[in-house]
Amino acid sequence: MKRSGRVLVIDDQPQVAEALARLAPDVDLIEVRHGADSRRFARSWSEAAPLLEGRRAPEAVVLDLRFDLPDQELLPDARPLGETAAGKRLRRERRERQGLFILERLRRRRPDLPVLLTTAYEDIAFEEEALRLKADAFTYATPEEETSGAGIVAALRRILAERDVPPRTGRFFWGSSLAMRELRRRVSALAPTPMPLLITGPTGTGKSLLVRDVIHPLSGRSGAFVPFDCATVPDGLLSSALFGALRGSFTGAIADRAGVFEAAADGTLFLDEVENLTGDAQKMLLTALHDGRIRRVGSATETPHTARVVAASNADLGRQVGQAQFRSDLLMRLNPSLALEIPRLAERREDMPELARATAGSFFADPRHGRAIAALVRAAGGPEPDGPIVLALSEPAASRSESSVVFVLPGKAWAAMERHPWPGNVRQFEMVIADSIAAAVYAGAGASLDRSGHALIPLDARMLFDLLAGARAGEAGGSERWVLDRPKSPSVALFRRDLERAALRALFQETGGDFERMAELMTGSRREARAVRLRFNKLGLSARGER
Amino acid sequence: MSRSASEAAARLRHDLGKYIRFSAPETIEADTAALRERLRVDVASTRRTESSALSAVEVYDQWRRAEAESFPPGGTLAEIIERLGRTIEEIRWLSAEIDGLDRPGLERLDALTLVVATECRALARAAKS
Repeated sequence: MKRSGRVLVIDDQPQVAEALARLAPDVDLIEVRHGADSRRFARSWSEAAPLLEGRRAPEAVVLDLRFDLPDQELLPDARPLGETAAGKRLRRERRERQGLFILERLRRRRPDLPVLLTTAYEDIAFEEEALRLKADAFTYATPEEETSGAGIVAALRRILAERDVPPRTGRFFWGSSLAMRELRRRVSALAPTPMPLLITGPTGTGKSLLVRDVIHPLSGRSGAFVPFDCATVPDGLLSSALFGALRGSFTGAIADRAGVFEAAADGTLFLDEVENLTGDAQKMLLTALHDGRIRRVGSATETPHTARVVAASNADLGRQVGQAQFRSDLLMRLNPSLALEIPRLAERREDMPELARATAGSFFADPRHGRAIAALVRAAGGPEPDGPIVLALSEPAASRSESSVVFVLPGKAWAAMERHPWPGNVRQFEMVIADSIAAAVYAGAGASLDRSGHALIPLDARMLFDLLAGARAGEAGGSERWVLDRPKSPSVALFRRDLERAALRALFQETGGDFERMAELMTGSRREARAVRLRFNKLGLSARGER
Repeated sequence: MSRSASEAAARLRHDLGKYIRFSAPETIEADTAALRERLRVDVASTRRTESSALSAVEVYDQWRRAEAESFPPGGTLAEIIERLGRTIEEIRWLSAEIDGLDRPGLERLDALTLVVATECRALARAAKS
């Protein structure tokens, strides 16, 4: 029988272990030696502790809360408590909280080991502890209606199933780092609720993919997923784009038009870069979230809306509130305390190997690329590729691979990638991997066959280093030389101002007046286009005058 | 409610409410022998250690003796405890005869275990609020 996972039961009573043995024979219960006998549960911390590490370490723990044990087996210090009133009181308290003491010790050694409490949160008498347990991403309580043997087995099965989830949901990459597993659990809890959500994280971490491929499908909503980029719509059109407009309400409104709120009825409205909303649009959005009603531009009547709003930002909205650029009441409506923050790739480097292989896997799965790879292998005298094509992250890893076609990323280049800061995060990493594989397929040195007949296709280390260097240049805002006319100004302050004017003018000419491109040249990202345009105008320049 | 009442109620919910139907399936066993065996395990050996076992009635009696003072007379908590006490009395009588109970008697005992589980939960909730 296929084993579903190794589980350690920590309980002073046998019922939970018996229920698991009876109802889930596929679960591998860890045995505890007890003299000549053995049983399938540890009845105290001293019995459980030695079993937490090593080759047979548990993949999940089932833990009771209350333990009727003698003093010398009770945490925190196993000392005799005597029969005085104080001793009896302390004994009772230790027994009531023994599961919490055990969990605390366990977390010091295995911070991310899933632990299922056989008690519902509602049944934990200690409020503070219950709140702390809820905050621990890897501690689960049995649902209130499921505290029977069958319910505990069902809850455990759900936890064990979480281990086997694929690294991607749609195009969103999770990986298996602690931070992302925690995020995954929070997303699972929050996605099905109707409340507005805020997604934060730097550019390239996958905020919009998270909403499109994970949160919207998990929400169970029947309507559409409607993305709306708050940075790209001109200020004057923001309100009508969001809430719709009646014919004739402004110049160019030649017919009644629905806004994105209406398009997302019963679905999810994703407001990307929400920090770019104008003051008026922020106010209208606040009303929509607060009252659940919207009003088309030019209309006197409000109508209810059914869109669930998910906003994303890579700005520090708290700071923007402090600078009066973002409404504090709107931020509050977006539930900032529940904000889902996607960490930078550099904060979860342990996910990089899996991300590299997943990116390569997506590339290889494209039939067009598959045909080109097969042609490379045939040209080297190899057979038609059979089985999965893989990416090896070093030469030794390639020689150990059993796949018939192996792309080889040179170990030195991979080491550099592992150290790289990746300011463009997952998106930038995926581009570097995909571009270097594409170069190897379509413009590389071809394949060679090893002694076992495996086709090896090397990635060009120099190109990888160039891609990384290019990324660095982008981080620094570009390192190209740039010649400007030297301004003649009566003061340092004016010189600085004139220099900035000259720079923006030159960029305007270079890009043909494309503010997004200007922002990209200045910062490496098009996201600041609005800020660039505002600055351009503030310096007394006008697009019409410069053209 | 007082902290001691809340903790005492949580203790009863854990020791009695959770285990008195621990092996119960979603729907009652069609097989009378299986039903009798499950009730024997859950009601007669509700709290077990390696060396001893306490029945549901014994768990309740012990709890009552130890915790009587934690609950004020009158009010919601006292009413729930009163109802629990009456249910436990009927269980005491039926479980003593478990080997000779016919199907309706076993079904009655099963229904009483459900009442105990529900009342224990209600007591814990009321004591917490």
